[in-house]
Amino acid sequence: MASKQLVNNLNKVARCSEQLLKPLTAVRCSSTRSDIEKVTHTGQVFDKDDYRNARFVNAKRYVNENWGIKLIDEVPPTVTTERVVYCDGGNGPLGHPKVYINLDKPGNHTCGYCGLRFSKKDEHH
Amino acid sequence: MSLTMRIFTASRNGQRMFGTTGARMLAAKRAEPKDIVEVPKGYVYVNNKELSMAMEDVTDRAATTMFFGELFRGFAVTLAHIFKEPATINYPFEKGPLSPRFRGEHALRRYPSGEERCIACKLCEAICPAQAITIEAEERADGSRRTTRYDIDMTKCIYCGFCQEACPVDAIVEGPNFEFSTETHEELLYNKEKLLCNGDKWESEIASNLQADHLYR
Repeated sequence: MASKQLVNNLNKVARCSEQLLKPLTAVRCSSTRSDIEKVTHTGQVFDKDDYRNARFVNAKRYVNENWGIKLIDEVPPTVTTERVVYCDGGNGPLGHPKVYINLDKPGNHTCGYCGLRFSKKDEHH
Repeated sequence: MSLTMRIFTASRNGQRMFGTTGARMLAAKRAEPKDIVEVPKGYVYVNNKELSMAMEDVTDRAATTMFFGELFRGFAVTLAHIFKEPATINYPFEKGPLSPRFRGEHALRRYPSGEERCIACKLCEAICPAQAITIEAEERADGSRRTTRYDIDMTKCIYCGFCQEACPVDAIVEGPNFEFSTETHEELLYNKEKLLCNGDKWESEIASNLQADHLYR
């Protein structure tokens, strides 16, 4: 009799634990985590079933939402009448090495360091 | 406060303050105390004077012992320290001062426009004595030269600060954060995303530290 009761109890525990563990497994399962599915600015994202997702089981997958390529695209190009401009990243010594940019060719010219764009306005003589 | 300070000073200098006047008056009459041992030339013995056996001095010493004079002076010091400002800080909530040159957790910085500073020159990778930095670079979609991979193994890093010295654009810096312990080794293998997140989080502190120190670099 006692053993039967014990078996019954064990069954109950097993059922309960299944219900208890359900949300836990959902958290553990990589497919439902939002940070696993995000694409990084370098284009890195693993498939749902990729074994490399195992490295994020115990850790957060950091994804930085601020993509440099988008943010620098929002800055409008500086239009000047000078043939040569320089860019030092602003803030003097806290910017980047000063570079001179020749604007003779038409279109935008990008600073190789900070990505700011410059273009020359055509002057009519 | 002034009262406690007075207790404090009195307890420390009591002997001197109360003893001086009497001693000075007696000094004229009293003979110089004798040396206990012969002092060789070129040596100084600190406690080489015999104790005075004059009636007053013997009584003074006996009174100090009988009335626990030294004990009470000790208690007075303790009492004074109760009212003094504590030297400790409430650590996780208060932190000690940090130098602007403090080398803590690494961060990748951005320009005010939001563009990443790192141009993948790989000087930090080259100079790193622990070879903790790994960089891969590729032309980005808009044609600029940026890293596609920037990994730092924080468990290899020796926090020498050579990377931030080597960086021509102040992209990789060692910020003021020193509380980044983790439970696993893997969490300390930082990738570019983590470093950029650090940079976004600590930018104001890092920028003010660089501003404070830029004249000395």
